[in-house]
Amino acid sequence: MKRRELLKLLLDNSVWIIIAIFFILNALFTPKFFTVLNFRNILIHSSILGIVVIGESFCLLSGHLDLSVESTLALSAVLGAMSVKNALPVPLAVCIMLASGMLVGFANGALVRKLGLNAFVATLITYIGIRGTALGIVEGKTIWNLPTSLCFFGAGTIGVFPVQIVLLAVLYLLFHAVLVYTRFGRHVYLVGDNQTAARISGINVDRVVITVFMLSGLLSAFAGLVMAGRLNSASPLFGTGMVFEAMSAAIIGGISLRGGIGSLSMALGGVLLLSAISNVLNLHAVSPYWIQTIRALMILFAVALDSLKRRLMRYEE
Amino acid sequence: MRRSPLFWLLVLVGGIFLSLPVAFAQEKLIFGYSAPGLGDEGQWNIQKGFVDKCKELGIEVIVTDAQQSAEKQNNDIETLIARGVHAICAVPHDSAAISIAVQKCNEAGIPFFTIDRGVTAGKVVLTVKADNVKAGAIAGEVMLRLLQGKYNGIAKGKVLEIRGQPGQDVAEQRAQGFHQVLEKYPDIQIISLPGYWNTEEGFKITVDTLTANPDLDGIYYHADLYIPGIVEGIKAVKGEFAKVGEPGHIFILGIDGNPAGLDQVEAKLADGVVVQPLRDYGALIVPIIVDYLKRGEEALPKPGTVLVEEGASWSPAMVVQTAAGLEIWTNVFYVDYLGAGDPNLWGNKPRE
Repeated sequence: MKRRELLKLLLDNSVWIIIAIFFILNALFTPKFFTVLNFRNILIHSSILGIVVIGESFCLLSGHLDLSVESTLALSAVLGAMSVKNALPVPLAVCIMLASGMLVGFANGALVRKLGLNAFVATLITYIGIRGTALGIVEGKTIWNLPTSLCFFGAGTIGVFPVQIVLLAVLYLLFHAVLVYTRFGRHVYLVGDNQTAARISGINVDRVVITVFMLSGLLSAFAGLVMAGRLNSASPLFGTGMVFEAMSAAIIGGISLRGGIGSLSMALGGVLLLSAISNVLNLHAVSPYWIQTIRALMILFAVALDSLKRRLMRYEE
Repeated sequence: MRRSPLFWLLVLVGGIFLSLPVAFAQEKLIFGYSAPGLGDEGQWNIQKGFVDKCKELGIEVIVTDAQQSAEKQNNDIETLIARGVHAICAVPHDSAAISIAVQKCNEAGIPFFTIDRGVTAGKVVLTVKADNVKAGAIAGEVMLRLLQGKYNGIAKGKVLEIRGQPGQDVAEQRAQGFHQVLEKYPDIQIISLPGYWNTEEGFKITVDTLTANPDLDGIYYHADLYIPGIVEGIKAVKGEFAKVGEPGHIFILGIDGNPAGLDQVEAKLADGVVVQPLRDYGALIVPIIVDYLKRGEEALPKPGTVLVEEGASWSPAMVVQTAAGLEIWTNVFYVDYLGAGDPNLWGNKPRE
């Protein structure tokens, strides 16, 4: 293999190389890090954020931001809990949850494409409004002790594997295939890369963008279902601040904010890296006053490594 | 034309009748209440207690909801100033950011009171809050007793403390009281991690800490919202959850006493909770505000005194002069599964 090809391979998988370095260092210096139980913990911690990041990545790849993901997650959790507490069957409750996410996504897409609002503004409106709706529905109460069947996606197991981990793997494989092997996936990249060119080449940009937002809403709502199950409860405050983590994970994974560049496997790398950093800080029981600073320094270190690799690549060219 | 005396009498009586509503309208007090965000169970109850007491005393009250935004809370308070309310009471969302609005309130000559949290700058007449240091200390003492019970009278063990937001006064005081009690015992190790008042973060901390410390004896949480995350976190690592009294049980206790928290204590998922009298803050502060408007500084309780009212959940309350100003620290108390069902606890009172 030529040197340049090797460098390109490294660049394309930079986040995984950073994860490998991070894992090796912590296997040496963090007690209990290199254990099956702890890897299981990291994957469980990654699953909810990971599901949200799939949707966010689709939006970013199509050149749009979706700020409403965390509010959609909370609304879905609250609606599901309220439904089962009002004696609706669990399958119907799940349908209501997922439908709520798709509806929010449709609203986002329609605001952007039909009303011509900037995606930041449009999803900021739903971000505020949907969180408010979730708060209003339960008047701030936390609903807990949900039926076991509703908690399956968050706390169930398939054999020895927690359902959350299986879901994370299946969803990433599925949506990676959608992005790489389907016409819709190619359209997402094209719209993100150059909307005008996409439109001229006959792509229905409205349909692609609205579908992408609906997908993001659906996945956020699904993440709400997983979180409600994981915590056996539902609160309108679920997912607070998660949108920044979701965008950070996608960007650390190399997805461009301008759209058209990046892949889901890299975004998954970003999710795993963020979760592993939090996990290590907890294992070390870092002082509560310094934990955020150290987390920021670790993320900076990861991003700096990535930046260094890009410079190397340019130098080689 | 000469009017009869009866005519003038009727005019006089009519005039008095007509002016009465105006006079009463001028006398009727209007208070402003600025909530940091009514989506939270605790905040909703503090607001409800304040509004109920105002209604009882015939005071009109305008409630604003800052929806967890420091900027909106400042705007809300400015609106209340413009509305010309007689006094403003707030639960600050951000003790520093609200200071600008407090100073504007001071300039407008409207007395400013707070509940639950203080402010960084500006004159606050009085703050009513729970004695959070005492709440933390009670939790520490209960944890100590539980550990001693487990280890045949020896004070030893490993305890996880899931904090609130580091730096916020409530979280700091709850940590301070707990540490004051347990740090006297060198064989008790406390692992403190911030949960940022976030249930999922509580889950992650529980899972990671239990992985690093399978011999963990107890968990102390700063707010009830962490309980579901703690219970599910223990299940995720250990595969099962041992309730209070069952072999392998990890002691769980904390502070708040909201409905979900009390339910969980009653269901023996947690050992107990230190309850704050949130619903009764209003009953304590509203009469003081009314009296302050009539008599000024004289109406305020003197530092060092203890306020007592039989049957009131806030009683006894300490009057304390702090760097932030005059404060009343209300009573807090511990309940376990035997007492968690008490209908008099604010968390068990119906919403309406």
